Amino acid sequence: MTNDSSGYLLDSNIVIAILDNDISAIDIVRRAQSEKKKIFFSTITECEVLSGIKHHQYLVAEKMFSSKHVINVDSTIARKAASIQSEQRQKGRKIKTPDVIIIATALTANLVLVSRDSDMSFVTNEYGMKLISEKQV
Amino acid sequence: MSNIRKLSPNIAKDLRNFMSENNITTKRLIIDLEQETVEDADDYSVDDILSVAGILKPGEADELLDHIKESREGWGK
Repeated sequence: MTNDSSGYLLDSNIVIAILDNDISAIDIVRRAQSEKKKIFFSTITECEVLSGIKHHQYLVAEKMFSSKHVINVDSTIARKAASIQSEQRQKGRKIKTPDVIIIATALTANLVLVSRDSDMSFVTNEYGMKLISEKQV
Repeated sequence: MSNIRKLSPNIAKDLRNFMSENNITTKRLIIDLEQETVEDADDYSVDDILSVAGILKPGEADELLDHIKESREGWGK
């Protein structure tokens, strides 16, 4: 896949797939490297994954959440998320706050969103975002 | 108006020394004053991510997904 984005934002379900040694998810990481694109995670994902893993896995897993990969949720992202959530609510689509923050992070940073969450599929049509979905990873 | 600012010779010298000591050869750096780190802006390495692949035992990925699903249920829509 070629694109003009600066990298990939991996949703929490993709990070878990990597931790589970899932070949499709690992291929995304290798693809990014070969394309000279960077891999990023939201601090939302950092929290969700590290809060759910076993204590003895924590020190190993936290290596992937270095500052070079993690994007903080700042005011710009929060406001974009609020805007998306409000727009979608008016259209009858309810999006959970962590989901919309991750979407807003990818949109704000011009990243390809990688997720197996089918609830995120609307972002391609409605916001012109690039999404690698469950069917592709 | 450009945001480029000239470094003082002493700061430039210190930066060159720091880069040399840390084997940083790139010409583009990200300086994070909050974290007090210097990062190679052209670093596409993913070894740190690949190094954690496979740390979960069978069944733990599903447990983790359930944990996240439950935690997200608690958030507003």
